[in-house]
Amino acid sequence: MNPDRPLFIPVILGTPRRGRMSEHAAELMRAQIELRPGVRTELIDVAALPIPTDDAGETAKDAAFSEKISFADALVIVAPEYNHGYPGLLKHVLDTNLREYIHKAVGIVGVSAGVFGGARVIQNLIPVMRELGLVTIFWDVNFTTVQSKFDESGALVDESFLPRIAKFLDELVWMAETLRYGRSHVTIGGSS
Amino acid sequence: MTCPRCGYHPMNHQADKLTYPVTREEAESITSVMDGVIEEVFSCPNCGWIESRRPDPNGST
Repeated sequence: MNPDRPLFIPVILGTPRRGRMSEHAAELMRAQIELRPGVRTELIDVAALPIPTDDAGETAKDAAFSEKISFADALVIVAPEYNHGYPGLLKHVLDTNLREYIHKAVGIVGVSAGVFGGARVIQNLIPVMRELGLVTIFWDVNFTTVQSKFDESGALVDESFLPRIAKFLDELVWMAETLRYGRSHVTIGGSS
Repeated sequence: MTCPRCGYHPMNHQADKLTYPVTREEAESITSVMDGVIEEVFSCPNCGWIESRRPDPNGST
């Protein structure tokens, strides 16, 4: 056993579009996680993953991405809302793995140019998360009118988001620690 | 199962996940009750690595 192993909570930037403002939100989340002791993180950009789009499952896996997800204790998914849904590439990338997600925590950050802050993309992602074996937390972060929340350099201009992000991460870390214990020590069917 | 990354033994059998078939062979093995294929998922208590395997058809794990 290695009790000193830090939690690993990568942030997945879930859109490949040019000019994506979700990138600022994802970088903010990464930076906020990095401030937490005992937690390490990194940004995973779906646009940078060499995953083919004409295949699926094990044969389409990117080994480096799968390794990161395998060692992850939780995920933060930053997802813009496109026509009330999630980006197609995000779903394709997520679908290349399965066992790597099982009994791990996930928090979703919704991003939109409108006033709903990605609420609908979050609702659409939740059943996908469940089927992947991820455990959703009850906090979300919603970047409403994202174009007004960051300046051109990507700096947050509305600091009222920080307390909400802190609550989101408090819950995510709690769930990550609890599920790590469960994955390590609680055997399925062990009490039957 | 022994962790292929750090050698810790035993990994913890933490889940049985129903997975959906990708290949024709897998699709032919599903039944109307088990609408997919069971995958046994193991976690390494030492390094955190995740592994999985199909159950032993003879019943032992």
